[in-house]
Amino acid sequence: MSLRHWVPFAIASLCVAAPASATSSGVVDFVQKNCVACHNSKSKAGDLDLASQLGEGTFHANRGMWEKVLDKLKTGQMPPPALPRPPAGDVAEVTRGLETEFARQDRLVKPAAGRVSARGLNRAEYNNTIRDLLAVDIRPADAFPADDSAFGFDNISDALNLSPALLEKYVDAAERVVRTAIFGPERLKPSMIHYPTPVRINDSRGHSSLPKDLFHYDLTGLSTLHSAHIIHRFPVDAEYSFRLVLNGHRPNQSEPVHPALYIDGKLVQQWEYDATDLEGQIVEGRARVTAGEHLLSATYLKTYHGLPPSYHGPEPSKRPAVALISTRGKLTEQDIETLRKYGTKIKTDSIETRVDNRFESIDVGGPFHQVTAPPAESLRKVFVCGHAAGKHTDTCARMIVTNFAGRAFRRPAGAKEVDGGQLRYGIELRIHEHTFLEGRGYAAGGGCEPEVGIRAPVRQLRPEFTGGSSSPPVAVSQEHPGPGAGQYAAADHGPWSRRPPEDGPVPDGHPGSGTAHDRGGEEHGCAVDGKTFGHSVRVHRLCEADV
Amino acid sequence: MFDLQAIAFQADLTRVTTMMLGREGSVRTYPEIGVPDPHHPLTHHRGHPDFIEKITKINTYHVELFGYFLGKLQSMAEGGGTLLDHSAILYGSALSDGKAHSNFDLPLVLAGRAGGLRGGRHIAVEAKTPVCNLFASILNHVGVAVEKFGDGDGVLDLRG
Repeated sequence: MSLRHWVPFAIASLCVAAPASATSSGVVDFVQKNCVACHNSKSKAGDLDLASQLGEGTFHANRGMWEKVLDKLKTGQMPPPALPRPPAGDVAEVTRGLETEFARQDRLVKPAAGRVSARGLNRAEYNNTIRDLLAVDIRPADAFPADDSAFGFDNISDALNLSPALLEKYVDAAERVVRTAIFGPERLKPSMIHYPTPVRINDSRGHSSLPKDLFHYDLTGLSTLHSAHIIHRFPVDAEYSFRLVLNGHRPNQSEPVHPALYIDGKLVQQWEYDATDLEGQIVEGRARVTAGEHLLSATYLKTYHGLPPSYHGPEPSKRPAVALISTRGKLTEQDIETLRKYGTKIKTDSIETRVDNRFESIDVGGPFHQVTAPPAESLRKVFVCGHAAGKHTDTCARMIVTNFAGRAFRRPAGAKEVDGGQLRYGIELRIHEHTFLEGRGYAAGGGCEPEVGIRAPVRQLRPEFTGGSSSPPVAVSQEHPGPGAGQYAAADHGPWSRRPPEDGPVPDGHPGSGTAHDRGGEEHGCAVDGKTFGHSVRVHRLCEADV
Repeated sequence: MFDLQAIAFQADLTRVTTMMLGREGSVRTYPEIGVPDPHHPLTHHRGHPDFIEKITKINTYHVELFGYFLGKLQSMAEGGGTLLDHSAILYGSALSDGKAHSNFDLPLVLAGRAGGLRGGRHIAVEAKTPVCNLFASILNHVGVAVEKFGDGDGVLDLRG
């Protein structure tokens, strides 16, 4: 036997595979048998000395090294290709052993995830939360200042700051949302939104844009270029007006066109309009629409029907193939009369041949005759006590607030939160930014609860909700009683914010108008020194009257 | 919109504005002055007296709005004069005859006294003079020295 053959044989004889086990000792045995021949203090292959690292606790002390060993074994990089390999089963046992050991170590590590910021809601989350909590979809956060973003994300806790402006918006949003949920949507003044729909069909004389097949096409017109589509958000269930401004042309002596309005793909109204010059002609109608976003489509029904016979289309026009007015020279008396009859609905100076009827704009007006009752779903979500309006009892308030706070906090509301003097008669729940403020502690004082009023003050609004009780109302006033005392003090003090309005009472009809005085109750303000919490606003607690 | 432009000049938010009273092919109707027909088709009047009457109403209305704008600028005091004294305001159309789509002999009004402009005149410019020569002239009057602008071939002389 030559030396060459002897060496591999000798090495192979070292690889008597001791039965590898899943224990550390099994790993050590394996390493001793298969690895230390090269990886020892003398030869240090790959700058790795395993022989001296087999002591007690080595897998913890040299975790990084053993992770590399594991990696090499798993990928088959070790032993190197030239050398005989241990049985695959042994390798598998050893890698499993190492992985198990690492997992055991990891389980014992105390996690140090770092500080978690109280998480504010960004605008989208706020809108969705309101909708989930109260079935109110007025999207108040659309009017909030833009979310502070970081790294391109708008849901980074540390970046979402609370500014005085935002807190004012929260207060206003809370007012509007609760009023909508309990008393019905705001009465809106009608306005009109103009949606230009600039699709233009390039159909110049001599170059037709007509499809090859005029017989088999979408008769609704919805999928043709002649149509226009917009999505409009309707603020409230109501009647709305729709004005379609037409544009484009039809060939001389075509039959009338049939513009139509579809809402969410359903035909709502159609018109017949007799003109070959459609520029600026208008059709209008009204329809009741539910609140929310809806797709409005303006189309021409059967748009390739009714063309002159020379177009070889379906149901050709029966009108005589003559020009309505002369096209050369001065207008004749007949022409003048014709134009008096048709106005701008026909071309004045040519025989029209184009088939490029389209829309100029869709104008949406309203709301008219809007629904004013509160949404049934909202009432269901608020009044979980099950009693009808005017029949509530004292326990209803607690039930309502407990349920609401639980849903808002996404955890059961504590008795202290619910009962701790902040809630007396559950009628109106103010929703502030909730999870953001949760858990912050404040200096107590004046008998007020050491939690910022999140679901905060419940205020007596109407006697019928308390069965006519004349108990004193919960004060929701500022530190300074007086003007605007029906509002929240939220961000009115401190060096970063302005003082409360001192120029007179809140005008009637304005949210928050009507102080507790007006309701025949006694108004008593209390506020506590709040701690500034890291941002630019100082929040007062909204708390119960000391009566 | 003219109010916005006036305020923008007054507050020096900008020194240049452009505004279209109606886009090309505008189909806007003018019910406020008794013209319920769309604007563009009316300009293709072909001599019809009713169309001409209506388009005259619209043009008059537009010019009145322009006059209002000039009045506003004139009412704003600025450095010993008025804001209009330091402005050059051009009003006009890119077509002289809508029916024929002719862009020769454009009817234009240049108001203001920027750079020594003198008003109270009608200047019959030589035929086929590019309007960009007028723009170059206006630029020079407001302090931007150019020899030509766009597809013009010189500076229109507005002195004299």
